Amino acid sequence: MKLLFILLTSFLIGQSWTDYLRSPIKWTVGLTNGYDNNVLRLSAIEQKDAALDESILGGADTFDSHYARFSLSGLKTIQLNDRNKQFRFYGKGNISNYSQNENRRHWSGNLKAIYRWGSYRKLEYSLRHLDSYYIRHYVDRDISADELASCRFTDREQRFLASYPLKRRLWATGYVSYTQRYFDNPFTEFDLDIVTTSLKVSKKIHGFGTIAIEGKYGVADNITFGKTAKASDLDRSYEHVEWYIPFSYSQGLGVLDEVGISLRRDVRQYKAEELNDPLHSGRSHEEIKLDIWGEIELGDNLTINGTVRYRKRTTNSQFDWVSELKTFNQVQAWVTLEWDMIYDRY
Amino acid sequence: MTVINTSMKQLILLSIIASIFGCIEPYSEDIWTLNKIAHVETEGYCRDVYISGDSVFVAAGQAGIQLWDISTITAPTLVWKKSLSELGVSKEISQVEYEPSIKQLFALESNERPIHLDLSKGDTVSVVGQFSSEKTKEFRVITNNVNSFTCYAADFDDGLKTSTFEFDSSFGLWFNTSGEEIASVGNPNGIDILGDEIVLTLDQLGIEVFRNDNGIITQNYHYDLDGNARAVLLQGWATFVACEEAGAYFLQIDPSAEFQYKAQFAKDLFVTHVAVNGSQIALSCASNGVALYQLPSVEGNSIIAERGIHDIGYVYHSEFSDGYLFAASREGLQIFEIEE
Repeated sequence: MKLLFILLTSFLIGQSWTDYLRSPIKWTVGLTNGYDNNVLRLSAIEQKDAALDESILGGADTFDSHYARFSLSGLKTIQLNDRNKQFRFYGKGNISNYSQNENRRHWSGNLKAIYRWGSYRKLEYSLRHLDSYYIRHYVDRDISADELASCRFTDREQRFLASYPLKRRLWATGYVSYTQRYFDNPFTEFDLDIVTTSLKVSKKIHGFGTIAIEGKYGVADNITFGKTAKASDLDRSYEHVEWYIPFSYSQGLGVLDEVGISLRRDVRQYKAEELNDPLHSGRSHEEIKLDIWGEIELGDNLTINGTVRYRKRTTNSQFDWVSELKTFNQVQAWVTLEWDMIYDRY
Repeated sequence: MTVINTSMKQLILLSIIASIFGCIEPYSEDIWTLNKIAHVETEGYCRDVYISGDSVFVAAGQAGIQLWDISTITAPTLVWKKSLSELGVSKEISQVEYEPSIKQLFALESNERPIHLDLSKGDTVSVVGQFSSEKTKEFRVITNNVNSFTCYAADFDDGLKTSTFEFDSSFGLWFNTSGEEIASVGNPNGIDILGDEIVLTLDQLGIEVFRNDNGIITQNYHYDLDGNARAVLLQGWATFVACEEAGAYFLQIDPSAEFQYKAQFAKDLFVTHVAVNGSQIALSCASNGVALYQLPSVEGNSIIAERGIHDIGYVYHSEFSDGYLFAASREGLQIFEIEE
């Protein structure tokens, strides 16, 4: 901590560092109300099975759930001597609560340090944390043949991002991220180190909105392969390729000030090739997420936005029963109210 | 042109330092690792193993009986093998037991009768013959003296069956001099003996305990358990019972011959055999391989902790010897070291 403090202050050599800190902090409080029709991402077959065996639901009574999320974020901008250059420090914390599925209660947060030196020019380091996120109950095959246990993971992602203009209102953003996805006991056999690279090209169209296209490639290394008991006999490493195309229209539509739509397609190919395990052997999946959103500015400091998401994961396997067992659909909808505040005691 | 200025450098430096501190450590599970030391191809299914010093006797199913030398544990060598035709039997060999003090080897033709082999004549392996009755499921041999032994058999038809043999030096032969049948509550399919205590497993009816008082065997008590009692292991301070689909039991008996403590574990596994080495328990779980458990180290703590199911093949039986775990499996004889 002391080291960080020294480093932070050393950035500002040349000016009195206390002068730099005399800038306001922008706080944003957010409250999200949402609905998820398939919290546990169960396939149609699994939903039928759950009617006979409630333990699949991990103590929940329903497949769907209402959820609420409270968020608080802060942004501190430090303007350097050169008016084009600034440091930004951003932090955000979220607490989510699922009314019909208590297991899914979790918190998350992220921190960012950004250096900007002009329009579309920035370097960014971010640290994101997702704490003990519940997926569903699975059989812990390391110690049991049929007993279910809660399966949760914690994500810690670090991202180095750079953005640079290509032409007027056309810019590129690329990043490399390192994600540690470590599962809580007793599912450590799923632990992954994921390295992802991304390149996104965005175009702002004057008087219209913004459109972008992003390509991602990631490699996940199953670091606990062969290191537990029976459950780690399978290598859960994978490669994935993702395409993301967002489009936003900022000229208003009816009561909405801004609307947008995005399409995300992720193809994941697992490394596992185990002839004795048809459930996992040669399996891949394709996931599509379609988001539609709209935003209304209720005032200078108050915005409300709503999103509807359709998600479909199609699992591919040489065995039809595996495809049917692991393919699911999900619909999520949420509305977020955000209130911006400025704290400026100078 | 963009140049890397001082502020950029400082952000990059800050990022590198933050990334070092930003990493998290994975959780660790309290699972034991099985390190494979050796794997022996036994031709037939390896149904049972008996370790005596550096000698490992293998009941190799339809490949008969084999003797392996493990003086180099990582590279066992085959000393000899006896096929079914050489043994004069037609069904697979499912059990093997060696009495080193009299150098006599015993094997079981599956669901038939025990086979007696004489290893006392140098390198010669002589088949003495078969004895006791058909539908013997398991047996134990106790050496009475250098010229006598008694075989106690779990006879599915007749209960507990004993056969005493004595060596007649004038003929140079072993003669079956006596024997008896003691009826059991159910049909026995497993047996173990420790001191004067003999325990039979009775499939759906649990276990039956007999007491051997200088050759007079009497029923002591019967104790029902869940599942199908299949194999029993007497350790003096505790009794372990493999109960197939009901897992395994850990039982402690008090001097008044009533069970004081009963713990059922591995309830969701199909357990066919239990082996114990100190606090380590190895359950043979058929197609699920071997399941490891740990006995509580603190007195009064009744929780038998799971230490991992290891998918090493279809396991019939396992034994500990000199810190190693010998697993008799369809894939052959496998030797492991347990890393706690």
